[in-house]
Amino acid sequence: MPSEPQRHDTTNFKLRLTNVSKRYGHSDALVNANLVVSKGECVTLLGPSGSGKTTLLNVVAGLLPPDEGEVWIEDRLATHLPAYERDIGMMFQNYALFPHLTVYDNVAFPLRMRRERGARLRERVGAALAVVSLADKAHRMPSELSGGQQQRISLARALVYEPSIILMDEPLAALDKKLREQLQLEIRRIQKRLGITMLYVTHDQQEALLLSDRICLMNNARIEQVGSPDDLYFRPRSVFAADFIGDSNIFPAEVVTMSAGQACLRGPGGSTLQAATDLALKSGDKVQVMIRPERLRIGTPGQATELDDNCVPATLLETTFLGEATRYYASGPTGETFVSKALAGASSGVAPGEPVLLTADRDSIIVLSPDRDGR
Amino acid sequence: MSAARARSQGLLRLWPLLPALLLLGIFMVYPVADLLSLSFTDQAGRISIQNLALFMQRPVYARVLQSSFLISAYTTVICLVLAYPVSYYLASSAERVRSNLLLVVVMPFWTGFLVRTCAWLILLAPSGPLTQVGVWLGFQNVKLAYNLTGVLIGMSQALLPLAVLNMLPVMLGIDRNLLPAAAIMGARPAEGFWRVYFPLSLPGVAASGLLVFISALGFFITPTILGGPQETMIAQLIIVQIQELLNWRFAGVLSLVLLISALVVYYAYDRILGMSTLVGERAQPGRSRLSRLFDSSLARLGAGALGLIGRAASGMGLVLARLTPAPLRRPGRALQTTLVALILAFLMLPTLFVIPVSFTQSTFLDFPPRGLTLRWYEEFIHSQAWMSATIRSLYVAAIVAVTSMLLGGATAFTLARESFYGKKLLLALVLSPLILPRMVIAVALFYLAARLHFAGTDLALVIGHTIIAFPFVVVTVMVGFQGYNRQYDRAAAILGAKPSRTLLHVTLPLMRSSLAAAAIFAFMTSFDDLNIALFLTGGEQNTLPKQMWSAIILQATPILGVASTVLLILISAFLLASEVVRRQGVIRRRRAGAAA
Ligand SMILES: Nc1ncnc2c1ncn2[C@@H]1O[C@H](COP(=O)(O)OP(=O)(O)OP(=O)(O)O)[C@@H](O)[C@H]1O
Ligand SMILES: [Mg+2]
Repeated sequence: MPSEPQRHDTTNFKLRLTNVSKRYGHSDALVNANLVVSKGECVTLLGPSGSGKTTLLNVVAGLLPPDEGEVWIEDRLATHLPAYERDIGMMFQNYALFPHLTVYDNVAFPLRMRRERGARLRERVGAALAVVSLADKAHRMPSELSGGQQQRISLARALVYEPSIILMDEPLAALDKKLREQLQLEIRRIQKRLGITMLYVTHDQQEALLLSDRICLMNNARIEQVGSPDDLYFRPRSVFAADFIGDSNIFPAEVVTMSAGQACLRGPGGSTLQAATDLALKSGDKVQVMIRPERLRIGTPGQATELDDNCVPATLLETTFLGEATRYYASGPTGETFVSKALAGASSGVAPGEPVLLTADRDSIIVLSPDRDGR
Repeated sequence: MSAARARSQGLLRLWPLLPALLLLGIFMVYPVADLLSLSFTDQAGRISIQNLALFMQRPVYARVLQSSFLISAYTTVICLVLAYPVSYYLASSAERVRSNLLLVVVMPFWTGFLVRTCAWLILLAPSGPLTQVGVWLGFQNVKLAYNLTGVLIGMSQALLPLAVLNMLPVMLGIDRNLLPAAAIMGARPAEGFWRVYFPLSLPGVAASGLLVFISALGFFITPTILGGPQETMIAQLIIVQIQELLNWRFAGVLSLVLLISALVVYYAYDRILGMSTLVGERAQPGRSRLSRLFDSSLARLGAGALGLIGRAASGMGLVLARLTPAPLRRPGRALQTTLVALILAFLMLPTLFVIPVSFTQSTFLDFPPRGLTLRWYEEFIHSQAWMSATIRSLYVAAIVAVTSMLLGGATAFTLARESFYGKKLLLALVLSPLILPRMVIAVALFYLAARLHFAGTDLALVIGHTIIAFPFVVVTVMVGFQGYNRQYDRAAAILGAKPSRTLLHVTLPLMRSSLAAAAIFAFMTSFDDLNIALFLTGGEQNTLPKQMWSAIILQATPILGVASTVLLILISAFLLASEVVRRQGVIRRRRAGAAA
């Protein structure tokens, strides 16, 4: 069962962005971004292409001065600190290994910048290479390594000087699925073991769900929602968030009454829906409602009556068998398509074209705030 | 079907290569070989090394050789130092800015050495404005022309574009994330530069250096006009041997020296970057060549030295960073822009001085012009010699554009589409006129033409110019092919088009912009040439550059300013036209790509 979202500790933070904005000409790359990352936490930046993920990362790294806002690293105001004084590690999407230096010299680079030398240097480089199990490749050139190995060298190079924060910009995007999964686990393990604070950019939601303590969902140069993977999946706050992560049924509804965090809504075909919400709504408001397919049950009309709450009458369109689960497509009273997913075995015994009744628990019905762009 | 027949059909496919091979074989390879073999025979035609021995013994030749190499070496160093910041700036600029600035770099390259040297003559002359400025600033004994200073100023300005054009691809190939990566790991800008960027840019520096050096070695215009007797170079010596002493054997020896130097340098170039960069494959440091260069082949000849310099720079990053003057350690974009603007001004502005000079009332090339008159323009228009030279230049260039397009187009299409045994060698032969010193090609062709009694005819000029122009067409069209998707051809074939129709209705229209650019290239190569024209024109049969050359040698009047202005305007117009065509091609290709 999903755990309750933890209150985020904002006093003991490692990294804090307040109202950070960045514009390129007339187009926004980042608008009013606020984000707090605590020590040892891994936060992924998830969002579609062009949503500002790299921009945010570059602001943190000191490669891009923000137009407005502040960047704090622990208790130090770092907004205009040059990159080389931030003590940050970064893994680039294309690795950015120095092609003219050996693996060893690549990993030694940040230590040399810190005037480390002699036995101590060799020892630390050796240890970092051991962490990514590539100690035997120390004297190769980067071009002689496979993509996955280069990737790991890049990780070793970001780890070796124990920077307090590590930034990763889609480090695994170029790898095949198998290698990607293996490295995801490896990164997660190392991050946990060394207690590294990490900001990780990806647009792969599986990766985000797997790696992160919290996900920072971005859309259109803005931070849409920040929360645990669980939060984002089960308690999305906007249509965008609900739509972006996982499958979802999203349909319009109107608020009938609202009291003490309980909303009574009029849904498709005049059905009545009861849902818990902390949005400030009043009767007459038009909202969007989301139900995850696995939380939407499909039954024959006899099992419940249409007068009950949280029931929508529909017609079964199609059934697809997925192996461990079955997916049902049904057409609602006003023609919208609903998807329901149930574990295989519990056959509903309904044939396409027959009437069905869709039901959901009160806490599976999520009321979404309207998007800024009015959807 | 027999194997023999299949093979002969295979060879038949290659027939479009034949005309180019014949042209090169008869009018370049054979005469050059003939000329060089002269150096090994005596008056009676017996094999002898007496010419070579003579060359070794006479101190005057050793001196010329030494000053040639020294001047070339100085020029190379100056060019590299000036080209590096410009290339760096271009490589780190946005695409649009880059292509505009690149035009500024390329423009003077095509304006021709002759016009630019004329401009320097005006600026650097003892009574010229730059000398005056020097005196005014309080320097004693300012002497900017007819000495080493003048030659170096003229030559480095002439060759700077070449240096930039060869450094830029390597710098563009350097991953843009490397410097930020170094900064994040704690490298201050200067240290990051020396440890990372500089070593990676070295192959480009080396390539530029080699090409500038070898081009400088073949120079005769600048040292003749801006130098004194101390600055005599090999190519000038060759001209003297032929035009004044009629000593073919000795010209052969000198050509041999020039040729061997060129081949050695190109061999090194190929080792470092690969000749394939000439036909548009972007240099890829960090991948194939460079990585090999820095490890397994480290011990190899030139590469070894380069690797060592790179490693040394990388290892001494801190020291070098400390040695870097404070304002340059973290040069702001404004400082960089100023520096680059100054260098580009050095490239662009001097040439423009030929324009005001053409309006002067005095009878000398002096600046500022005294009074304004159109007298020299009238004289130019009414002068039989100048007008016929201008007209000849134009129509010869037009014919050369056509012949080069036919030869070069057929060659490039065949080379790009067919694969066969010995293709690399053939490509090397086709591109060799770009590599051989033009002076050698010109002298050899003259040697042949003189014996066959067609020297001094337009035919000889067209043949000579086609030899040096059509390789540019081959290169341009082959580069165009890389942006061209062979899929269109196959699609046309599947739809039932015969090969000839595919070529006419599909391939050619899609390649239109490359072809137009190639034609303009060929035209300008001919229009601008002085090497071939110097020997193969004579009497009243001059081209415009040859006529200008004679005028400079005899008596430099403001009519030279007029001729320079005419040349400048014509060439700029052609260049801008080619740029417009090229950009349209890029747009069209993008559209085609988007549609596909
Ligand atoms: N140098 C630049 N000049 C102009 N606009 C830029 C520049 N860099 C980014 N942008 C714009 O800023 C916005 C955010 O870009 P950013 O690179 O942060 O996106 P991203 O989320 O990292 O996308 P992706 O997943 O594709 O990497 C985009 O609209 C992009 O077009
Ligand atoms: Mg990005």
